[in-house]
Amino acid sequence: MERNQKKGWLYLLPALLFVAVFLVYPLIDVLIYSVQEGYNSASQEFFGWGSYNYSYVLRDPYFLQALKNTLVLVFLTVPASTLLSLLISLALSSIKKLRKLFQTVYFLPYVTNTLAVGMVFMILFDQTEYSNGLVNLILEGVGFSPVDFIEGPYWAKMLVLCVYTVWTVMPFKILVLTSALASVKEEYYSAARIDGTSRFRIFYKITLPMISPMLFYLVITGFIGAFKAYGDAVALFGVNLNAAEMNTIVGYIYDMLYGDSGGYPSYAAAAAIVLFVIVLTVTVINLLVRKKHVFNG
Amino acid sequence: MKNQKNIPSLDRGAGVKEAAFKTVVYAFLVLCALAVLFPFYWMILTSFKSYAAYNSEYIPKL
Repeated sequence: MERNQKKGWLYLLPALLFVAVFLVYPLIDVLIYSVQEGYNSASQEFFGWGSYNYSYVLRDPYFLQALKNTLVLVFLTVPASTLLSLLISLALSSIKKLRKLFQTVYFLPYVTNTLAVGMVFMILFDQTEYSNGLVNLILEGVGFSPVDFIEGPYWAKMLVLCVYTVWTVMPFKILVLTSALASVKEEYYSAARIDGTSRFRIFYKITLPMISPMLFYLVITGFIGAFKAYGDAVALFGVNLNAAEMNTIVGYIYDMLYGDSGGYPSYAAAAAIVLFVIVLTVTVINLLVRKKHVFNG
Repeated sequence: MKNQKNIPSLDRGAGVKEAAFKTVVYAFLVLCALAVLFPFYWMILTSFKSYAAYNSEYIPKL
């Protein structure tokens, strides 16, 4: 037993070393950066230790804007995309004809590049000097007044970002949920059908509990992914996200490091730690909820 | 015997319900598929447009 345990650690060593060097060490390094005051990246000197970086970041209006944007994005897109992909995969699993075709179509966005398709969404919503863009043309056709979605009011821009985010994260969720639905044993459904159970009750009492582990996995990864959003916003609104009021926390970190206002690794590190704490908190809450509500059969 | 007579009519009602359900499901799937595919369609269209054509999207009038 003792010898086996040693062997086990030996087998784990390569993976542990990799994690330690490329994950744990950088994390500790970021933590150290974030509490060094007045760090100068050229001379690698700093004045002393303290929490000034955090108080600067938490008072920076750009960071607060980025925080607000990220939170709005997370709490709008994660429920919306999960519900929609659950509906689509339920519909997919209830049909036989054309099922493969629909699955292929829904999977297409997964293999595309976020910048390329983001540009298409930008074109769809954009107002140019001579045209209102396709979406506005449709809106006008239905009788609404055109809205400047890319350079206009805050909620119009947020709507575009949310629609695009939902569009990009759906394929993965549909893929996972359709396979989860396919793995539910047919016997349960047969038994329910013999008892004459209604469709909604079958879904609520059999399907939902059986796929709940996968659903929670999707919600957790969805939350984490949405908190780390950055590329989507760049694709839609360009590199200067602060001017567009559409910055995200990751975008703020990037700007602090390399952007036009950049060169402040300490502020970037502090913002990164704040993001880390937020994501950790949300994930822990998710896991606690999971423990209570998920069926582990 | 009476009960047996009723069974086909019950089944027919269920068949109509089933058909309606299938129609709704397919309509929903087609709508979502269109929403997914449209950006690709538009991307290909835009790649063939000149800058002027891209810049002045409009609904042609008769």
